[in-house]
Amino acid sequence: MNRANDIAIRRRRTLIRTLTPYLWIAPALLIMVALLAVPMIESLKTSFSTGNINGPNDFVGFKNYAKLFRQPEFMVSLWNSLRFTICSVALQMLIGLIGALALNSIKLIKNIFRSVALIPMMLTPVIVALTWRLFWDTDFGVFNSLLSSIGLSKIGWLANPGTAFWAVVVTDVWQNAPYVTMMLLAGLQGMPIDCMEAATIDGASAWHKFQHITLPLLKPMILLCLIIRTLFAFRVFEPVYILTNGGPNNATLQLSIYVFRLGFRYFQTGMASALSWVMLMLCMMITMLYIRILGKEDDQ
Amino acid sequence: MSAKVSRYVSSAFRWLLVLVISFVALFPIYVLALTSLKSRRDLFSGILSFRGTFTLENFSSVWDTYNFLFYMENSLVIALMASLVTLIAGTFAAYGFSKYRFRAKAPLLMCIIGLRMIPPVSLIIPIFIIASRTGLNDTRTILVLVNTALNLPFIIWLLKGFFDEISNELIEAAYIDGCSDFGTFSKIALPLVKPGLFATSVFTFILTWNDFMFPLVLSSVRATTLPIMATNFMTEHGVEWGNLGAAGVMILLPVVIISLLTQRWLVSGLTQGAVKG
Repeated sequence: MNRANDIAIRRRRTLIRTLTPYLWIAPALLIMVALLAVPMIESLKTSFSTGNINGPNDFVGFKNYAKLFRQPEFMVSLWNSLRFTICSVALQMLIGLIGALALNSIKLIKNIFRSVALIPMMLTPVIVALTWRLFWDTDFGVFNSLLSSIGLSKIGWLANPGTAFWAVVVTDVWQNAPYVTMMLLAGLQGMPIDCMEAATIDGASAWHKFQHITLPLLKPMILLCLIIRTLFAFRVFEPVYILTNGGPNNATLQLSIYVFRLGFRYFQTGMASALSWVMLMLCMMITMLYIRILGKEDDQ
Repeated sequence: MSAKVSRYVSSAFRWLLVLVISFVALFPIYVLALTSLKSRRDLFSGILSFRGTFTLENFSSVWDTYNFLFYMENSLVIALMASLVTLIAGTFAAYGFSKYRFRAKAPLLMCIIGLRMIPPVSLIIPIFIIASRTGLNDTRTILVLVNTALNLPFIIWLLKGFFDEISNELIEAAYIDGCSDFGTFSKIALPLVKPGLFATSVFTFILTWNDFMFPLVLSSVRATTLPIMATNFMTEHGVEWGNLGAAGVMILLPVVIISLLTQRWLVSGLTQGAVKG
């Protein structure tokens, strides 16, 4: 009797011990499952059905996907997303790196300049986009008033497909290059000083030191920034929505804006859900691609 | 001699670069602030000119006519609640992942990385449908929940990094001394990760304050937040730049102040969280 009781108590203790870790993670898991996992599964189901919000939802197989891939706007938005991501990330990395090197090289009141250079990163994206609209505006804009003050004619920055694309890129780069600067500054500060001093004593030029010491040591941080910035540039929303909303003539129509259009303008819930999953798959592919490159670098 | 000259030149070049960067970072904010202080008539005389006098009429109009306080209350409550819920759930989960061994740990951590990869725009349609079905549309609750869920994956990895730095011997010693699971967490571990908790709450607060996409879809009247209000100044007849500038300045001000005051923690949290996540 006593012994049976003992075993029961011990069993209960083991059970509690196995369950404890799950209790710690339960609240967070519950929220993430309910608001991330369940919606994504719902959206997967919708992408394979007729996509009626209120009416009957019949299974239609890959019909939504097939229809989506035939839309001319799909190819346009995919191409725009790719070209935006490449241009924006390349500029962010370049300017971010230059910023980090410059800020790392000064000694006097460096903290003030660091704080200033990092400000754009945390600002409300909508307000940033609206502020930049003030720069690109045809009648009022900063750029056009500079142009007319030196006697040149005004340019319709946001009305012209070529310039509208770059207007969005510049806005995005202004806000996000500081992130790269911050990450690379952290990388530069963790760099061994004696290595640099030895190179200086050996008479290495600044370019040589950068090429053979700084860059290789920064590489992991650079690749990390590349992954994060690529994923975020690929899903860019606010600057496009505010500056051009996909126009003119779909020149800035990115995938996330197209999801919005499909869902809330054309009410094609099925196709919008299909596109959502296409986007998620592309994000996974980008990450995997980078991780493979990262892995290969580590092997060498 | 020539080495000295070249050192001066390179130093001058660096300073020039730093000054250019600072100018580029600050100039748009300056233009926004300038616009907010101009009267409607002065706006037409050129965006960069100072002629005329500064006025606060845009601020009072945004405050009184456009009911800034109502939107601010929504933004503030949603951001505070989201950062509180994220902080509590995220700290528990990070501690669980860091200090316990269990079978589902590695796969769950991988799943959480996978969740981080979801583009928010992919969630917008299913969450809109779910919110409509459950009657949560246009409530602060759904915006708090969505922002919490979106921030949790990153925050869990960030805080896990902070907990990982506490030695396991310390935790075990607490157990041997008769401390309960929760006691060990609250009395031993929690005080040691204060910078992480701080970075987490500031970071979540700012991200939620800045959120645009979800309130755009999930709010219509009652739960509308400040970023949505700001876009209302883009009307069919053009943009009301003065009011927009005033609203923009007031929306950015808390973000700038908070991020400048807490930059040290934010930077260390973001760089660490990114490296470990």
